[in-house]
Amino acid sequence: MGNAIGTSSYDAHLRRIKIYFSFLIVFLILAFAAGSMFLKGAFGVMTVSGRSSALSVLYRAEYLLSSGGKNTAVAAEDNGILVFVYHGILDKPDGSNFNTTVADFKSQMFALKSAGYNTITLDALYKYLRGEVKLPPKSVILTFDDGRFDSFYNGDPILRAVEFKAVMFVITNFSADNETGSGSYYLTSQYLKSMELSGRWDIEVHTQNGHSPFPIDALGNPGHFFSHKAWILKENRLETDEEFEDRVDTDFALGSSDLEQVLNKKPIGFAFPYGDFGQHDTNYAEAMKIVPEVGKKYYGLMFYQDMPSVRFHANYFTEANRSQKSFLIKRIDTGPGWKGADILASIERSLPKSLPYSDSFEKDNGWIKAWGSAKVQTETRELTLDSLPQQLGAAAILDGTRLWKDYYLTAEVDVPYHNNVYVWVRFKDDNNNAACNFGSGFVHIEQTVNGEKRVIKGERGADIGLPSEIFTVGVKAEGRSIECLINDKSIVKSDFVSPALEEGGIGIKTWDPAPGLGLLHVKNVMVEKLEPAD
Amino acid sequence: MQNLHTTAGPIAFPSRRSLPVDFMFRLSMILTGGLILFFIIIVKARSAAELSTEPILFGYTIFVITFQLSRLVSAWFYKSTYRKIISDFPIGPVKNIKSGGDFLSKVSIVVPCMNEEKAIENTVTKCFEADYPKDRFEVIVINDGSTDRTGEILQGLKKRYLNLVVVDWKKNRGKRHGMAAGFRLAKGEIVVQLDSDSYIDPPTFRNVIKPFRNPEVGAVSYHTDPENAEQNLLTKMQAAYYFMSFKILKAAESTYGVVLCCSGCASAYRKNIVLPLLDDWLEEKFLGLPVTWGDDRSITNRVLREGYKTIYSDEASAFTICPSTFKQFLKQQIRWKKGWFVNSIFASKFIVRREPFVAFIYFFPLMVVTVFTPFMAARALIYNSAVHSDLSLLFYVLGVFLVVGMIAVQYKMVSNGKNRYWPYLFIWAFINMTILVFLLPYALATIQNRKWGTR
Repeated sequence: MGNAIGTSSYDAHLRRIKIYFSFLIVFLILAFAAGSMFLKGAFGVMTVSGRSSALSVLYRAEYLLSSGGKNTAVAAEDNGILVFVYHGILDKPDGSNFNTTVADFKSQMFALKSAGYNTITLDALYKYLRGEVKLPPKSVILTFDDGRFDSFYNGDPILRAVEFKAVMFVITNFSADNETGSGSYYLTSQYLKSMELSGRWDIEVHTQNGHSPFPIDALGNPGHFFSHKAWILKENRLETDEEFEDRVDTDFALGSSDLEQVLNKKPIGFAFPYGDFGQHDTNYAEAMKIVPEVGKKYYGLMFYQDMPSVRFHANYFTEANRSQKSFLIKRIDTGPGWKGADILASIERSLPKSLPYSDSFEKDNGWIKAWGSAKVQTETRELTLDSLPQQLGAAAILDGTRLWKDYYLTAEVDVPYHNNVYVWVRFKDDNNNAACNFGSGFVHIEQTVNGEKRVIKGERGADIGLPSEIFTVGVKAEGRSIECLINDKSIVKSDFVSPALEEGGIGIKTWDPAPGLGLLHVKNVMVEKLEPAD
Repeated sequence: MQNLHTTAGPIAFPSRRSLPVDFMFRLSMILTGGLILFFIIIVKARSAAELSTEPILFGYTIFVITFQLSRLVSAWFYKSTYRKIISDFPIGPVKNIKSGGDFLSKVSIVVPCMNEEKAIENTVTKCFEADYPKDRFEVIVINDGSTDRTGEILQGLKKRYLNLVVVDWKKNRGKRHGMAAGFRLAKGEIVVQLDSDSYIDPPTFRNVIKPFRNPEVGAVSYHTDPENAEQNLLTKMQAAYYFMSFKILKAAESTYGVVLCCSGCASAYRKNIVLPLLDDWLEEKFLGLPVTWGDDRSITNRVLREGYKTIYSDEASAFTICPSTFKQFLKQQIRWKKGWFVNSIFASKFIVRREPFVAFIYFFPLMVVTVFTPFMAARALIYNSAVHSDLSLLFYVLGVFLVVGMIAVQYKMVSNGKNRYWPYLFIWAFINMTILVFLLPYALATIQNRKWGTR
């Protein structure tokens, strides 16, 4: 009797337990699955975005308080494009020469904002270059390399506070192909999507997988992906031209398709890793021609930092090259420790200067060292060009003069060792320029077009010598004529300068056949505007 | 003579603490458990995210974690089920054995032994100290071809204890034959099988027969702790492991009346169920060779196959001697793993039919997890560490330790402060993760080695 009743009550009990158990387990599984999906996906992005939003309000208040909300925007001239490069944004300096800190970056952005600068994306830049749109006044472009999480995490609230935009160049192999995850070094695709959606960030390609140096010779010396042929260890040889081109092409293509998959947009910009496409050191001289050619197939804008022949920091594009499909763009490396004043100074040095211009070297107005040692000495108020021990000379170009056309340049110079004084006008780059070469016993007018240099006119004579004391060299550039003067006295003049050199900036050089001897003190540079004589 | 009357009402589990303190203790344990659960979710999500784990692997991880925690959940219901098993039968169905409010079946204790001159006297003595009427009680020792003084000692003991039956075998025949002989010679309805170095704590002996009131119960495994727990680090660790295995893992199985292994240390069987099974059991073969380990699992499985419940009781507690050197310990582990594998194959043939719920929520998941764990551990410890740097290893270890933390919380709750070895669970987990899991592949590789594993 007890048996029957008991069994059924035990079974009922067990049935209840099984139901409880099943509920609990389903709940556990759901909790794990939901919790995990939540955490691994949207949660990280949401948290960071929420933080950024809250922090940006604080920063905005800080900006308004510090600047008084004033916006000293100045009407812009349609001219040189400045692009800045950043890498990481850290809480504290890390001793590297490419990262900045939160405080410094904030100081820079606040300064840019209150000075009235605008930031644009690459899309706008490309359309501008193609002549399709005008840019807002005082436009600059902020770019970040490597797709680092820290630069977004720390930079986004600041950009948000001042309503700036920025470009992020990502290594797609590390970022786009990595869907999930937060707190990692590189931004993952979840973040890229949310960044692109915010409209504040323009995600572009740094490389697919070409950021790590690889061996370029039998000794295993390292080289950069886009600048060197790789060493094929198995076969003990360098890549062939075709192999090099294939490798580069593949990286361009994969970077583009990787990003397109994540963002549903075709990327337009590509920043060479290390800014290097073979323009510096290379084991394949053709690289710097071939790489941009291949890159054109995929990208409208390709970015580098330095090119030995291109001296000016801003990018200049004329009507003639606006029909291009693809543009090579120079960027300015922002130094660690740059504060707001530093970036403004950098812009001021780099942006086009207006005429008349006078420079008494109370500060550095943008003299770019092109050769040897070139220093603006603010105490003695001069520009000192001094050749290095094994070199024959020294030279400097004045930034922001690239668009000058017709002008009369005079410079007070002191040449203690009677070296040649070389004054550039119509300087576009190292391969396209004109100059007056003042030597002992001669003055030459020289022009360099597409790298071909020739003397177009010269004047020789024992009476032509460089005065011992301080004297004035002068060059008039007017239309197709160039005239060289010493102490306001015309020495030689030509009316047949190449029409390709219709505009260009100024520079100055010292030269001596004996190594290490060239020395030149430049004081008081004046440039007057000339009205072309038609 | 001790009082034979015990109350048959609901079993009380007295707390040593006052009510508010007890409440705070439980609350803190529950909160700790919740916190650990939260961290487990975070760690799993993070590891999935950081290491871009494949969906299948991620699913598997969730499955493993859920399975491990489900055992804790099952264990929660142990006490209520146990109470139900007994309270359904306030008066035993066995006729003429009533004594007061309880029934006292005739019990036979069977101790097979070989070369146990050091332990046997203590074991037998403790048996006879049991809180049980001596006329309803006998001890059968099978001296299985001992070559030391065991036989001599037993003869001496026989003079002291009237109800001691000694069977002397000149040649060693194996433990299984010893156990079988015990079943056949036993006069009791309930046969308690003890290891030669184990004994049941005499004051708790009366509780041995309690669950057998319920005719559905075929076998009962009793709570066992190592007697030599304090000996060294290894034994302390095993003390923690024993406590966890019985109070949580066996308790979980017991909730469904499906304890898969009534431990050889101290278990009792209903004789009339086992007797018909003995021939088949003695003949057990795996891959053509006789099986020389996992005797306890094997007999438990046969009882389950017959449709009876096997449960765990913590009302009677036993003590045993656990290995105190690492070499002995490893040998024992390898024997256990072999026994587990062979008997899991055996049980898989009837478990779905007999206990479908248990088969799918516990039995098969356990098999899958046990077989895959060595690979997952190797993957985390070796492959992932090499490929994904140290992060993967960290997540894996963290995941394991968090689950162990969860077990530790339950351990503390069920031990109610009496067993303090819980920190050693973490040492166990570490050794398990780095060494013990890899014993399964080794055990399987050497499964055709059927030598008796001597301790």
